[in-house]
Amino acid sequence: VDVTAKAWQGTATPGHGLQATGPPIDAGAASPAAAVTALYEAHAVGLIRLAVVLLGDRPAAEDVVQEAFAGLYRRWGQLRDQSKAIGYLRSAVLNQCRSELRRRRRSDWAARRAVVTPAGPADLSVLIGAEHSEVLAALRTLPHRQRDVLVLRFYLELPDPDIAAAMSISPGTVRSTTSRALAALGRALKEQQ
Amino acid sequence: VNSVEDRLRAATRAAANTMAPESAPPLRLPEDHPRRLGYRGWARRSGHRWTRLAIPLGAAAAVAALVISSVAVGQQQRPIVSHAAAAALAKVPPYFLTTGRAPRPQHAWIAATATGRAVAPVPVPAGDWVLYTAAAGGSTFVMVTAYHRPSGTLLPASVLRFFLIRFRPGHGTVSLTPVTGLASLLRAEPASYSTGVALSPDGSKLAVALGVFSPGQTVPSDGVPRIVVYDLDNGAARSWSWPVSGLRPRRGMSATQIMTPLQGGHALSWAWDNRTLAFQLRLSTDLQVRLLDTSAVGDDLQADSTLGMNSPGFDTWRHAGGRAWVPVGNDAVLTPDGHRIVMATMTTVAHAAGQSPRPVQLRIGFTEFSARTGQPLANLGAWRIHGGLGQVSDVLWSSPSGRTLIVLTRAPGAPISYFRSAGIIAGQIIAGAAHYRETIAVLSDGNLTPLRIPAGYLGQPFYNQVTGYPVWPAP
Repeated sequence: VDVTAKAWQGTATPGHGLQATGPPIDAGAASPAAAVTALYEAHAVGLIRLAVVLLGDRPAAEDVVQEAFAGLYRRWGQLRDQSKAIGYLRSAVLNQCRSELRRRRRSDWAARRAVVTPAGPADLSVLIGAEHSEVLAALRTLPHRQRDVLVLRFYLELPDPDIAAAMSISPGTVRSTTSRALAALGRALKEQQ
Repeated sequence: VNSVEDRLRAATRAAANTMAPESAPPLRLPEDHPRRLGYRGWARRSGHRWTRLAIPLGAAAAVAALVISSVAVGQQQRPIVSHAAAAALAKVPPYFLTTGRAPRPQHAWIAATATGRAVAPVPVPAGDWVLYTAAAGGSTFVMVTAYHRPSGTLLPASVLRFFLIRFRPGHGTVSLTPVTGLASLLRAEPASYSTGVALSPDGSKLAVALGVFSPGQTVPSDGVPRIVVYDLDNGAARSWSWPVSGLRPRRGMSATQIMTPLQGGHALSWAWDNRTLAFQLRLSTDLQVRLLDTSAVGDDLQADSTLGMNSPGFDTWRHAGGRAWVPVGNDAVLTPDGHRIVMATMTTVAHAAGQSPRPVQLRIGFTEFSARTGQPLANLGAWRIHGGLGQVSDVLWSSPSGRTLIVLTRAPGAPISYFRSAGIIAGQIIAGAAHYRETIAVLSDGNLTPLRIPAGYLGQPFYNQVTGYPVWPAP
C-alpha cells in the first residue's frame, strides 16, 4: 500500500507543530489504511520534528516516523482506544529514536576501532548554527530517559501526566527526572565551553 | 544570560523548524494486512495449545537472532547507493541551491545531490524567496528575494532584491553579494512582475522575464511581456519588449505572457554560448519556445527572436480525447548546446470529459524537440500513469545534449490517493493543490533514478510566483 500524504497546514503550529489532540479523525469509521493515513496527514510533520530534535538527522527522523506509522498499521486491530493512537505514535517515535541512537553509538564504537571518523549528521548543525547545535549535542549525551523527558517538557511543552504516559513512568518520576536532567544538561554545556 | 531551559527551548525549536510543514514524505504502509488479532487471539482461534507456547518461544528466538545479526550488521559499512544510482549521479552536478518553504524565517542552503543533505547555509536575509538560478561550474547561484509582499496580489518587480551567491565546495563556504543595480532598475517598475530569472552559464548576465499587471490585481493583465538582461560585470542593462501588435487577447486573463513555471522550472534558459536565451511564451492557447540572440541589435522580442517550437493548443489535451502530445509543466528547457528543447509531455490514453478531475489514463514522459524545426526528435522516457488534471512534470536541469535530465515527475506506478486540480486549465487559474506523489529524479537512458530530495507538495498558486524547487548549475 502506498499512499500520498497531504499537508495539514491548518494544524501546524509555529512551535512544534504537534498538537496534543490534533484534528478530528474519524478513525473508527474508516479502513485501517485510511485511518492511519489520516493520522499521518495530521501528525507526521509534528512527529518528524520531534524525531529531528532527538536525532538531529532528517532522513533518519523520517524513517523513524514511517516505521512508527507502519507499526501502528500492523497493530491497528489491537488498538482498544483508537483516540489514543497519537499517544502510541509518540511513544513509538521515542522508542525508535532511542534504538537509532543506540545503533549509532555501536557504529561509532566500531568506527573508532577501525580508526575512521564516523560521518555525523552535519545537516542540522549547518542549518541551525553553532549555539543551538551545542545544546542539542549536550542533550544527546544524557541518558535516554533524561533526554526524552526534557524534549517532551521543553519542546513539546507536554504536562507531566502526558509525559508520564508517553514514557510509561509515574508523574513523580517525570518531575525528579526533569530536575536531574536539567542539572546534567547544565553541566554538559559548561564542559563544552 | 539565558537559562538552560531557554537555550533548550530555542535549540529544539530551531531544529524542528528546519522541517517545513508541508514537507513530510508520502506514507508507505506495509503490504501485509493489519492484524485483527494478536498472537493470543490467533492461538485461541486456532484451538492448538502448543501454539500458545510455540509462538512466544519462536518470537524470543527471532529476537535473539535479530540482536545477534544487528550487531554484526552494525559493524559493517552499509552501501549508500546502487551502481545504477551512482552512475546517474555521476552525470549531474554535485550541488544544488534550495530553500525551506515555510515557516518563516526560511532557511536556504547548498546541498549535495547525492544525499540531499545541506552542506553550507546561505545567509540570505529572511524574506519570500521566490526565484533562483545558477551558473555553470556549480559555484555561482542567484537568489531573488522579495520583501513587503502585498497580500493577495502579484508580486511587483519593484520589491525584488537579488543576491549573488558564491559557493566554494572545497571550503564549504558561501559568500553573498547583493546585486543592487538590477534591484534599483526594477524599483521604478511597480506595475511589472517577474516570472523568471536565469543566470548565463558563465555567470556574467542575469536575464529577468517581466509581465505587467494593474496594482491590486491577482492575475496578469494584457500588458507587454519583456525581458531584461542585466550585465553583472558592468551594470549595463538591455530590454526587449513584445510588440503590442503581437498580443493575442483572450477572455479572462492575459493571453500573451512569458510563462511562469507552475512549480519551479525555468521560464528562461541559456545556451552555453552565453548569448542565446530561450523563453516560453504563451500566445492565447499556444505555447511557444522562442530563442533570443541577446548579442544582436534590437529591442523587439518578437522580431528579434526565432521560433524554437510551437505547441498548438496548450489546453488541447483537455479537448483532444485521443492521442496527442501536449506539454505538461510549461517547462521547456533549451539544452546547453543550443540544439534541442526538452520538455515534459503527455499523451492522453483515455479521455476525461470537461474539467472534471476524474482520473484518466495518461502516458507521461519527456520529449526532445529540435530547436531549429520544432519537430520531436526523441522520446527520453515515458510511462503510463493514472490521473488527470493537475499533473505536474517538469525539467529542472539538462545535460549539454539533453540526454540526462533532472526532472520532477510522477514515477511509474505511483498511485494517486488524493485528487485535486491545479494549474491553468482553459485559461483559468486553478489555485488548488495537486497531491500526486511527485519525485525529483535523474532521467538518463530511459531510466528514472529518484534522488533523496523531497519534492514537497505542489500546487503553489500560479500568481504567487513561488518556485520552491531546487536549482542545479548549468553543466
